[in-house]
Amino acid sequence: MACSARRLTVFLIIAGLIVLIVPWEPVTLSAAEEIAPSPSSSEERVDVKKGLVAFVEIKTEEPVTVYILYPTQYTKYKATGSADGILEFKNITWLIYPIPALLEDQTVYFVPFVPKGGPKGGPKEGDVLFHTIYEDIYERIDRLMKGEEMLRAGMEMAVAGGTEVIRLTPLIPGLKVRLDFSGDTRFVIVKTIDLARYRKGVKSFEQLYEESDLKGSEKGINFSTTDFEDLYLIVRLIVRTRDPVRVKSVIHATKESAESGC
Amino acid sequence: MKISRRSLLKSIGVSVAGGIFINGVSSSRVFGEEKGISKVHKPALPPPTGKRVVILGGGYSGLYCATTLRDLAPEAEIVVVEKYPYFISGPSHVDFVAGLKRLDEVMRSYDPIAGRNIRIIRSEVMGILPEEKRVLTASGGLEYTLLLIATGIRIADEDVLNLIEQPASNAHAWEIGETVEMRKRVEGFTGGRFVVTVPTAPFKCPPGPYEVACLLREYFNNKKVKADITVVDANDKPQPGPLAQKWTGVLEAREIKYMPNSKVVEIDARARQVITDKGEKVGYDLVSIIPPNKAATFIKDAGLGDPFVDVDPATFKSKKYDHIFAVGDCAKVPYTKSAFTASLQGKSVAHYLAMALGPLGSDVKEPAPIYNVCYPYVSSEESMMVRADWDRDGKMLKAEADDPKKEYASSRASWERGLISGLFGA
Repeated sequence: MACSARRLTVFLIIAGLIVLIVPWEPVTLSAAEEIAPSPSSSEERVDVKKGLVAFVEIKTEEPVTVYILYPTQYTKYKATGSADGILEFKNITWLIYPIPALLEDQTVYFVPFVPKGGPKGGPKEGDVLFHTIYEDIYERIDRLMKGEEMLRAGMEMAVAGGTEVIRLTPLIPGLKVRLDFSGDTRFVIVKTIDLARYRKGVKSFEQLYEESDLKGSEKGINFSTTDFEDLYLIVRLIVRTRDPVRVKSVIHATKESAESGC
Repeated sequence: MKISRRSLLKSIGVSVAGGIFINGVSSSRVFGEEKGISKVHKPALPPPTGKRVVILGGGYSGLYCATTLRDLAPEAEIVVVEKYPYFISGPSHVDFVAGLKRLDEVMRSYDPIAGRNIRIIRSEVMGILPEEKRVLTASGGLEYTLLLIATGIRIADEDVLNLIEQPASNAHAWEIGETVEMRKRVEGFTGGRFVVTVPTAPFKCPPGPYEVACLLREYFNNKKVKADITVVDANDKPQPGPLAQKWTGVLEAREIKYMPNSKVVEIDARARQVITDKGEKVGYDLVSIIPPNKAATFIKDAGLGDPFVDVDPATFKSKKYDHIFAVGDCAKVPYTKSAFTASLQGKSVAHYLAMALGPLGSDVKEPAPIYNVCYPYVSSEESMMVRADWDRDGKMLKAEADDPKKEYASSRASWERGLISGLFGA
C-alpha cells in the first residue's frame, strides 16, 4: 500500500499537480491493480471486471464539467450530442468516482469538457488527468469489516458565485466526512427538506444557520453520518475573490458503514 | 436513552391530537389519568402466563418467523400484531399496477396462520416501552417476553415538500392503498407525461421503480396510449448499483428518459410539476413519487435506532436490549430490502428467538446464512436474475446477475408462489 501511494505521489510531483490546494488523498490499496495515469482532455473509457471496484480519479487545475456515461448512453451521446440521462459533475477540479462491478463487468466513459462561458484559459489538451485504481470488492469489504477506514468518494469543486449548494451523497450511517474550503466562507449543512424550504424561500440561510448543528466559518469541518439522510452543503463566500474558492469533500467508509449494506 | 411511559404517552398524545390515532378516541379520554388512563393503557391481552413472543408486523418476515418459531418452540405463546386485515404479497404490487395480476390472486386471509396456534391481533403499533417489556397498540398494551419488530418501511411523505398537504397528487406501488389508487390512475391515463421518481437508497425493492417504468411502457404501448416516461432518480445510477449498466440499456431501448442524481424535493400539484434538488422542474400528467423509505417513528422514539433498528446482522438482536430483535426492511442489516431476504431473515431470527427463550428452545441450531434471489421485470415476458449471498455476519460472499430472459419471468412467478405457499399452503 505504501509503495503504491509513493508511486502516485512521485507521479503527481512530475505532473506538477501536487501544488493543488488540498493535499493528495491516496486511495488505500492492497492487492489493488493500478492503471498508469493518462493525461487527456478528451475522454476515458474504464472497464471494470466482475468482482472489482474501480476508483476513477480526475484532476485538473481549471474547473471542468465531467459527463459519466454507460455504453448505450455513450453511443447515443456520440451520435446525437444528447446529454439526456447523463450523470454530470460541474466545476470539478478533483473527483474520485467509484464504479462497483459486483454482479457483472461494467464499462463507463468519462467525458470532461469546458462548458460554454467557462473560465478563460480553461484546460487544454492534456490538462485533465485520469487515474484508475482497481480493488477487489470482497477484499475491500473484508478490510472494512476488520475496522479499516477506506476512501469511498471525493470531490473538489470551484465556487465562484455568492452562494452555492453542494449535495453530499450518497450517505449511509458510519461514514466519516471531511470538508475543506480554500477561502473564507460561511457554511451550513442541512437535510433535504430544509434545502427545499431554502430553495422555496420559506427559510433563509440565516435561519438555517441558526438551527443547524453542522455549520461554521472555519476552513473545514469533520463529522460522521448517523443515518441515511442526504445532506446538502450551502456555502456562502464571505469575501469575493478573483479566484474561485475550492470546496473539497472527502468521504471515508468504516466498519459501521459496511454493515449498513450500501 | 430510557423511554418513560409519560414521555411516550406525551408523544402519542401529539398524534392523537393530530387525528392520527386510528381508533378515533378523543384526546380528553385518551389522557384521562395522566392526564389519564388511556385506551392504550388497557391490556390488549391478559399478561402472559408463560413465555410470550410478540411479533410486530404480519408481512413476510414476521409471518415466516412466527411459523418457524411455532415449530422450534411449541410451548411459546406467539402473538402477531398487524394493521391490515389481509396479507398481500409485496412483489405483486408492480404486477397489479401494470395490469398483470389481480390483487386477490396474492391476497390471503390470516386464518391459516391463526390455525397454527399463532394469535393474530389486528391493530396499529403506537409505541414500545423496552424497560417495561411492553408494546402499546391502538387496541391496548401488550406485555412480552421477547419482541420482534418486523414492521417494514414507512413512506416518509413529509420529506417531500407539499406532499402531506397535497396527498391526492401522488400514487405509487410501495403501499397497498397507494397501489390500488395508482392502478386506477394508470387505467385512466389517456396520454402525456408519466414521471416516476426514485428516492435515495436504501429503499424497498430497489429494482421496483425501473420495473414500473418498463411495465407501464409496455402497457401504454399495448393500449396505444402515447406516453413520455421519465424516471427522476435521486441516485447517481439505476438501483441496485451493480445492475446500473443493464438498467441503463433497458431504459434506453424503451425510450424511457432517465435523470440521474436528481432528487425530488417538492411537488407543485397545481402546476403539475415536481422540483428537484437542483431546482429543475419536471412536468407531469401522471406522477408516481416514491418518497424516502424509513422505519416507523416509534422505533426512534423507543431509542432503538434511527431511522432503522440497530441490530447485530448475525442474530438480529438489538444492540441495546437483549429481549428485542428486528428483521426485514425496518432493520439496519446489510441484506437487500426484498421479500425473499425478509422471509429468510424471519426464519433465521426464529432460531435466535427460540434460543433466547431458554429451555424451550435449547436444542435449536444455528440457522443458515441469508441470501437473496430475485427476478426484476423488464417486460411482462422477460426478467433479469440477481443473486447475492452473505455469510453469518452479514458480509457479502458472492453475487451474480443475468440478462433478461423469458424463463426468468416464469421463475419470478414460481418464486413468489413459493413464498406465499410457504406460509399459507398452495
